[in-house]
Amino acid sequence: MLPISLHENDLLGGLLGNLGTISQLLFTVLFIALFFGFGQKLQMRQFLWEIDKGLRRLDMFRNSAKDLTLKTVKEIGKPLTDPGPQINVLMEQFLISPVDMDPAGIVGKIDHLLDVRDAKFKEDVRRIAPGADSSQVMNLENLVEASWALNTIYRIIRHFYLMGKKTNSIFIIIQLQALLPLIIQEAEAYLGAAKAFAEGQPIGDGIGPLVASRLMKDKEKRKVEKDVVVAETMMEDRRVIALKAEGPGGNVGKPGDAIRTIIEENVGKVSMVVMVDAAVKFEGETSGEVSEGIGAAIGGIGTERYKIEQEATVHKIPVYAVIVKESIQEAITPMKKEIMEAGEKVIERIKSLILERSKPGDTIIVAGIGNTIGIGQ
Amino acid sequence: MAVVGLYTIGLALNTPDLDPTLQILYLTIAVLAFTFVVLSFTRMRRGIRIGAYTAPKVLSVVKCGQCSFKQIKNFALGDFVFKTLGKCTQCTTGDLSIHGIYTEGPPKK
Repeated sequence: MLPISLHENDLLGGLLGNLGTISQLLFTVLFIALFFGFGQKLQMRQFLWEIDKGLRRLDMFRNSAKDLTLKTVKEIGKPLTDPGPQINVLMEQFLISPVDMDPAGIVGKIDHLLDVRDAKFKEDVRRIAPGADSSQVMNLENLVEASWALNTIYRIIRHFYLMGKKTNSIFIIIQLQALLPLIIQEAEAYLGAAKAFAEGQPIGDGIGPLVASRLMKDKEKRKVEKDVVVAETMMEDRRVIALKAEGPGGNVGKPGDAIRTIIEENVGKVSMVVMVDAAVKFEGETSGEVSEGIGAAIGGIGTERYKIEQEATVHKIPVYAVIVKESIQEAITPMKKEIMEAGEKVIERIKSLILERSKPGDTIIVAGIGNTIGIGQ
Repeated sequence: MAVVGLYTIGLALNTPDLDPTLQILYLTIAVLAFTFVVLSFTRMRRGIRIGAYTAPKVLSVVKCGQCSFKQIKNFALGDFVFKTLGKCTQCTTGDLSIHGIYTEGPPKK
């Protein structure tokens, strides 16, 4: 029995030994074939799968924002007909930037285009929501813009996804896959913004108007230029002219034109312009941190900044900037506590800045830049 | 993949007198299977984290212009900063107004 058993074991051992070698060889060949022959294809499949998931999420965001827009328009605007088709038209709206081959005068052209676009958008929203008051129309306009942004993001990502799939281009797919988490984060912030606009809540970008409104509280206000309010106050024996976009509707106004008007009203006798705005922080920096610098602190396409720089240069007026750091997501979602609390620190900075850089009796312009949604004056 | 991993690790550890080459092969398959499972789970978690949007709780700070009265209430539709809400219930002379509107953000995950 024993020798036979040993013989059987030897046979099995040999077979297993051979099987091991064959399996190892097969495994190595399979490994090489998969990772060198189809590695890129496999990776591309995986990336496409991830982009597809991301795209579905973006679609969900865009539909949520659209549903919210429809619901809010119906609730606030009391439309007589279904606003859906008109909202769809607004969501596909575009702006053709002017020719820049001859750049002279391009700022004026862009400014004019933006004015036309703004007026048309506002008029369209007013027509869709006849029951809304002027403040609500502003909020609805912002809401439609947030939905428009989500719709545009979705369309662009879908375009590159389908193009990458169609052309089998790994480079398009890799770029899209690498950027997708950031794009999704931004889209998520736009969805948060849409919710804030629907309810008229202040957003992080509103820190500038919040500071200006604190300065102009209980003072007589007047309107200058398009949607900008101004009030005079005294600070450390200096005459401070505070300005902000007219709230509480979602609005950024035209602070460039307003600053130009105030400087002209004072015949150029303005000792400094202090601009307060939210600024994008770097990763690792704390939200609500206050920082100061030189120059016109204002975002957007650049037309308003151009006007301020131009006027300041003509009259040799120094322009200072006090900024509150926050992420791009925080700038368009409801204002965080630490950002709101930074308002007091900003006022202290303005005080020390005007003490250091001006004399008693001087006139100083303090401009609160940003979207004034949810912030009155 | 988890089943494949468990099965191969079982084969590698429980089979008596197994050829060392075959044992290494089984262990390699098990490690690859488990790595795939772990990677899939971490990717799924990240996906869930990005996808779920929770609206933050928004609060309004109501203050009296005359006395020290301060109240923090839930944001209501129509609230805005510097909106006057009537007379103060504490001093009965000062006006109550919304001093600030903020969110503390979603809880940290």
